[in-house]
Amino acid sequence: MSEKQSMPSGCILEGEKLSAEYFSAGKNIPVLKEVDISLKERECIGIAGESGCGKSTLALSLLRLIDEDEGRVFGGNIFFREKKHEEIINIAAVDKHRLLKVRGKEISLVTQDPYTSFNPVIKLYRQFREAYSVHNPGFEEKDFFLRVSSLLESVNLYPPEKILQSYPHQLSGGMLQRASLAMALLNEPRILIADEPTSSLDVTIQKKIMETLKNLRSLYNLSIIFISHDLNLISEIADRVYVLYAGKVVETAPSAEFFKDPYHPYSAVLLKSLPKLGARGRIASIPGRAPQPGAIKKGCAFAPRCSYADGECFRNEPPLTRSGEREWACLKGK
Amino acid sequence: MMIPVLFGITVITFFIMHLTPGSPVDGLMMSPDVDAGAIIRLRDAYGLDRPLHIQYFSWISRVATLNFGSSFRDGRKVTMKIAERLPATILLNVVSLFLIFSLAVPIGIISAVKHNKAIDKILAVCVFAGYSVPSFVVALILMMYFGVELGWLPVSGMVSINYEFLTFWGKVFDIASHLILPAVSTAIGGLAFLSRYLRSSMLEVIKQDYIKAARARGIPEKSLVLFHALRNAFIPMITVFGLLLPALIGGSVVFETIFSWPGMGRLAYEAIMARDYPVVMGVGVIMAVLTLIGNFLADVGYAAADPRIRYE
Amino acid sequence: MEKLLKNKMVLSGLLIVFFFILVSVFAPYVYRHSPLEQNISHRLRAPCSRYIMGTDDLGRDVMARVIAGSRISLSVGFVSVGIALLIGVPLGLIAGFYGKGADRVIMRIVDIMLCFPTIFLILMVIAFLGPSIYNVMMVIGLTSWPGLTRYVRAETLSVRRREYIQSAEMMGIKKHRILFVHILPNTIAPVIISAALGVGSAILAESILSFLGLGVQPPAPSWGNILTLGKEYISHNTWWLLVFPGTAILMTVVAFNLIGEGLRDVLDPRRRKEK
Repeated sequence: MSEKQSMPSGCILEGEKLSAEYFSAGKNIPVLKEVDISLKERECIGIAGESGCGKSTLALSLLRLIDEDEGRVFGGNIFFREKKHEEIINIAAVDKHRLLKVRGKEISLVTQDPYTSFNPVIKLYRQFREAYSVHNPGFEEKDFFLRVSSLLESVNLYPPEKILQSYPHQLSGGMLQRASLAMALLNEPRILIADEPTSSLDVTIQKKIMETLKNLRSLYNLSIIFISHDLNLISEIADRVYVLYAGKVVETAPSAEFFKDPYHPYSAVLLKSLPKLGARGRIASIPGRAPQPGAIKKGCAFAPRCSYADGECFRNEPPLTRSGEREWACLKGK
Repeated sequence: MMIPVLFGITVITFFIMHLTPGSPVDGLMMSPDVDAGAIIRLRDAYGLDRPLHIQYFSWISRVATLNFGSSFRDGRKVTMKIAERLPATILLNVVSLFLIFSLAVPIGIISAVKHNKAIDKILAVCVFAGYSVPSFVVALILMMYFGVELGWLPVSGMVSINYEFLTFWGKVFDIASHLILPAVSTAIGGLAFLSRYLRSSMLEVIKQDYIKAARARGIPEKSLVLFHALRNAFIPMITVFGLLLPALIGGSVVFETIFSWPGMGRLAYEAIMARDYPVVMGVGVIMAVLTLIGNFLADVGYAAADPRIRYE
Repeated sequence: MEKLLKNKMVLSGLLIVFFFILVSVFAPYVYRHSPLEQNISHRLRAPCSRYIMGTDDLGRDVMARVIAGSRISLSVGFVSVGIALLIGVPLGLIAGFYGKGADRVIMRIVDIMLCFPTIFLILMVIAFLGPSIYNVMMVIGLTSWPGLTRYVRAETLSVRRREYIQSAEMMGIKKHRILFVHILPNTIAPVIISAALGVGSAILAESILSFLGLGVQPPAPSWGNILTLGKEYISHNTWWLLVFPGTAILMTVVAFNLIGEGLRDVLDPRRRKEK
């Protein structure tokens, strides 16, 4: 693990060669392979890919949230520019104590299923208060309440008193997801990782949550890592897109260019299989199934499903090609 | 739920009494230490000439008013005999429940947090031993070692001979020293059972997504375990408490007999050995009722601890 | 089967049980002391070269009595679990398979049995029927089936819901055929597990009853009634009357628990998934 003195200006988070694996039945299953990712201040990046490509693992590894006995992240660095001193720390290497000050305070996470983001047997009030108190020792009750109620209002949950006195199961899924957005922003983090924040909700609610998210973004100057299998949603909010396939980044591009002209054949198929806006976008029409990360040892992981693939693709792993702001890993693409 | 169970228990008790070859009274006729009056009283009380179901209903209607009749041995009211023994049994069981919980909770937490580490494995072996060890033999061995060999602790009864002459604190200390061995022996089985249960339910809770979500908020491990996880793991424990109770009450028959503890369990044993039917019946019904009350409290506690049930 | 033997817990449990079976069957021919022969002048001897486990209050050889006791304990364990199986498994199958009224009645009875302090029930029955080893087997068997019924019912219910059973039913295959051919085999795993655990607790229950004077009656030897003497002479520091039968009980119970839990690790699919 190396220390880093400087980061590109405007850059707030930089994941470098992140690899992760899970332990299962005595074997190590690789999930992420040397993923590079960067996030600028106030930027929103979208991470796209089919289920099982490692998107959620990426979200968890950025906060070192993978359980020690379930798996591990290894070999990479996660540089983060701290709010106060503009000091750069390496999240992958900091001690536990420092890590606790990053989680929730600098970087927050919103997950897919709102019902599992709150403890089911504790009132929301206590859960909010606990999360507030760990980052604001010696806080005033009044300040806490002001903060929570203004947040709840900004996610359209009224009245705050009533919401706070509820148990999670007393709220609907959409309300809970709003509450967890509010929770994520409680301690004014600069980065929000949203891991499929809308995919367990139905379409109308999905739209409202997306509106709320955009609102919050401009309201609190957030940088967002938006993870989704749904390219429609990503196109709505993201400035840049990362496409993940079998644990690797296969393409990175600014949204505008990406949606007009994807370079990687996989991205192209993903885009082609998009239903029109409004309908729920499931990526199901690509021939074959996404391989388990690590199942393909040689060559390009997408080759078996790719219509452009030839012998070379099965032999050699394509390197990332860079041109301007775009990167792609394909021997055949542009 | 309670009513049919209570009904069933009284039927079983009544049925077992009538399993005895002949009538309960026949056996008594032979024993010289029972006076003729008691036999007549018993005949009257049970209406032994009438058909079984009528006998049952007349018996149950008296049981419902806690009227179990009088003991064959000393002619005293069964209710009185039980009432004077009950506090000792409750004291013993409350103390061992306290022991069980105050040890099982840390053991369960530590082994769940240190899952698969050395300390977890050591604790697992201890718990397995506690599970398998015949605790009445442990009681005897403790009795021999601490009571006889070292002479540190009294081995029988609840108070010393000079109890009457002790100061208040002397009395408390006296009872406490008599309590140690019976309470420890009673606690062994439940302790093993509960700590293992808590371990597995903690392990399950710790893996839940809401714990991960709380961790993502920067909440330190300590409060994740002690506040979030424990709170959830405790809910199923309340049901287990209901299962533990019959075992404890049944166990009191054995341990009170071993340590001559003047409680209801020992009364039951003495009554069984002396074939003192009214007392056996009375104790049986009271034990069942106590168990049911425990189960009821467990249900209430479960509802109180789990908001998801309370509001549905 | 191979997997079972590879499991260290099952294997060591089986070895201990095998050892006790060997001892109870063959030891009387090898170890020539009689469990009944009295020798008052040698009463309450501590273990020595002549009496490896010492003697009791009548000068009987404790080792011979422990060996003879293993026969009784094991047979009580197996027979009473056999009885419990005969009652518990059919009831569980009926409750799970036919459901409705039968299920309600059976499960109510199970609830009642589980609520009642078993030891007290056993004591009561034995006291009224008279203490004998057969009554002990009967009573332990008659009181230990409810747990089994629960497991079998739960398993039956879950198998019943599977698609292949439902389609078999739809195709008009006879109910009892479905029950015996498809469902019964699926319940074997939980039944074996709880039977193994049941033998251990039956042995424990027998020793408690004999200890309290309600099981095997002296002079016949049993682990429990050796312990009774140990309690009686506790002020004489007769530790050998406690330690040896106590260890015997501990080892058999441990063995059956090892077998039961080891089997659970191997057979129970729910726990397998966890690992």
